[in-house]
Amino acid sequence: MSQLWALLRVALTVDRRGGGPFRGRISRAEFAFGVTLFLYFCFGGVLATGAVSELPLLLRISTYFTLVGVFVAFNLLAASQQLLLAPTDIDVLYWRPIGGRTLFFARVLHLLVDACVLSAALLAAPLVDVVASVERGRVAIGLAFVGAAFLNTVAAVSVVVVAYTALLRSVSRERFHDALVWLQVVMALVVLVVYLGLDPLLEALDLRAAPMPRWAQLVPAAWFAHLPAALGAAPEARWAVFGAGLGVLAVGAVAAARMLAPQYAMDLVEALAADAARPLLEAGPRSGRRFSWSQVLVAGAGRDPMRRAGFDFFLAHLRGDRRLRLSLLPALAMPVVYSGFGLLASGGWDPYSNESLATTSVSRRAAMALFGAAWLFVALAVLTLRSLASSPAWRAAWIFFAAPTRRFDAFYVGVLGAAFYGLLLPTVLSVLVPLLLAWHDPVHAVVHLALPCGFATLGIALLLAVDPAIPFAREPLRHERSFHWLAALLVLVPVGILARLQYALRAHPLLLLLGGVLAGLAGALAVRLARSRLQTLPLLRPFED
Amino acid sequence: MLEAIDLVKRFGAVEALRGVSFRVEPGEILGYLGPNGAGKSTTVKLFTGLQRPSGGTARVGGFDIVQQPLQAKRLLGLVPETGALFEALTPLEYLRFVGGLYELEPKPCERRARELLEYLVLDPGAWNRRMTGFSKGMKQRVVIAAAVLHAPQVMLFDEPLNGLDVEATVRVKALIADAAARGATILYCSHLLDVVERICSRIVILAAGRIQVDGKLSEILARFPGATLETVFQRLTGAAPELAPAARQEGSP
Repeated sequence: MSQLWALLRVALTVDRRGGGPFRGRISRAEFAFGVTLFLYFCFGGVLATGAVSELPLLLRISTYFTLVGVFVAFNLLAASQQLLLAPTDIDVLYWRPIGGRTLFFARVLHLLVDACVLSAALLAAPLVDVVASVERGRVAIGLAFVGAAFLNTVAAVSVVVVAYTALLRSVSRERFHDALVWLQVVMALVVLVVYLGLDPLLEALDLRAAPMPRWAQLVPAAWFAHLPAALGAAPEARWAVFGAGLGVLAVGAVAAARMLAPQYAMDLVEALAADAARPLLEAGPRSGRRFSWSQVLVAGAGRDPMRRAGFDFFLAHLRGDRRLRLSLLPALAMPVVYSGFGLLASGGWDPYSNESLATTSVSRRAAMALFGAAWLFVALAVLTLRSLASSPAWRAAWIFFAAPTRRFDAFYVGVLGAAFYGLLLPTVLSVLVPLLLAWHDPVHAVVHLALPCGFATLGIALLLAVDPAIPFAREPLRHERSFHWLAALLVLVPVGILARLQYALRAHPLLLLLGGVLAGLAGALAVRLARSRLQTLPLLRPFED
Repeated sequence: MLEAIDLVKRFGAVEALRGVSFRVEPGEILGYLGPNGAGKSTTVKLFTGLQRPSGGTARVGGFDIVQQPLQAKRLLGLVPETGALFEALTPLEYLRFVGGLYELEPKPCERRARELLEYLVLDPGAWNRRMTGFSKGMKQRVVIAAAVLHAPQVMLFDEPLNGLDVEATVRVKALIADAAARGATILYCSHLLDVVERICSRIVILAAGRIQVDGKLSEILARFPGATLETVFQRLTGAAPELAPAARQEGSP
């Protein structure tokens, strides 16, 4: 037992103190965690004031719990690299006499503490919404809500742990990390679909007055929602469903403890060892003539050696840094998937054609998917830039401070150029080509993307000017990725207004094109401003003297 | 006692260890030598349960590390090559944590932690500071203290002198010799041949996953008349003597 508490206490302390000092006695990890909690709290507020709050009590609580469960699971998976796969743990812990079960439970408890704090932040506003909506027994319902939310969080953690450990045992050791990456990508897409699809789904199902659908009872979150709903006298709420849910959770926990825990440490160690050995195994002789896209890309970097160095540097990271790919892949898929959905739902409807301007023959949802997808580029740009700041190999950044470079801005422009050519441009083309094929009008397709791309450029430049960060030079923090994702999702709120504006102005394609060009030019000016800031980054000053 | 019986470790098609067998008795310090990639660190990982052998057996104090991992690990102390520790903690917090993992009584654990830090010449002003800003040598002192805190019967040192200054180096060597004198079994991996010559009672040279030679220094040198440990090492590991790159640039065409 003392081992368990020692492991848990140290894990929480390390979490809290990570990343070094931020300001005064506050560490960077504490600051990032605080901001994440605030964003989660705001997100809960957005949920509690949206379409969900109009639903009947049981369905409303079930929906809140489902959303929170999905977000918490995503957060835990996104942090698994630090929580469950930390290479430091091997040399520090795994040779010590710690049983597989103890290590397993220490890690699960760590996840649970983390998940409970995040759930509390997310559910604060929904709790107020639920309590305010009933007339009697508010205290009891509030307490039942908190208890049920805890069980819901335990269920979300259990799902993540079972998925993770099952993957650890079923996938070959060499492929475990890749499988985990893809699981996280899928989870990120689920978050996106849930976030973007919730309101249209509720609108389409029109559940405000209808009873809760039977299939919804299959969702674990709904089992626990029966507890506060029954106390709130919701007619459909059943104690039996809550009891059954509790039973399933208990049986699942016992099964996981028996089947997954004992071998946990050894399975994990072997997965990490296999991963560490992969470069050795994969390093075979390569043909000198082998075609590589990166060679084509590097050719586009120009002749400036500093810019080219930045270009190479980013592409090398993209090839070799799984974490970076993981943070960007789901984001890149966002606009492509959403735009495809818009095209399918609208049946190839061209919003800029004369016919469509005369009569609206498409649903509001399909139209907004089409326009929203284009504006997702702004969120994507923010996410891409933020992902460039940190890396597990951040200690290697000493080279930036030791090299006597006077033109770090050129290096940075090279990095951004590689991100643009290697990631953003292919994504824009992946959206543009289907639009061209569906609309048969290149001008309309370009007009559709011009303004969002212009604003994305402006967004990158402004972010760079406000917070210039040396690439891959910061220690990755817990919650950092979910924080970036949440920031990107919150950016979608103002971006949604701009999407509606573009929709309203679609009769004036030239105006939209001009707006895009102007935003792009403003972005170019902001890049100049950012470059002058990059030249005076404090850490580089010693080398300027 | 530490025993490797026909140890094999494969990573896919790559065979890192190809049937390695040796035994280290209590009180003995075995110098485990080999060029980079010879399989030294893999051997250490197999003995500490950080990797599972593809074949053969690794025993610590008579316990099979795969079949009886907890019993074996209770006897072990390891100074890993990476020098990894939880840097967000202070040295004393870290050592208290390690003591907790071995279920040591808090007061004796605290006393021993302080004694070790003092012995390893870590400035007392740093004992309660987070290790994030520590130099490599300061961290290495804490790693060594954490490896021997529970007075293990079997100790594995993988390049333990990395980053240490002269005074700390002298003390670590004395600590190892003292532990052996008290009956501990010690496996010492290093590239520093002069250190190995001085402190090890027996030497194993490994190359390409196979043992090339195993014996006392005097026995090994007797087999290669006129040779030093350095030249024996070069001959057995196939590392032909050559000019250093700098010398090539200056003196060679």
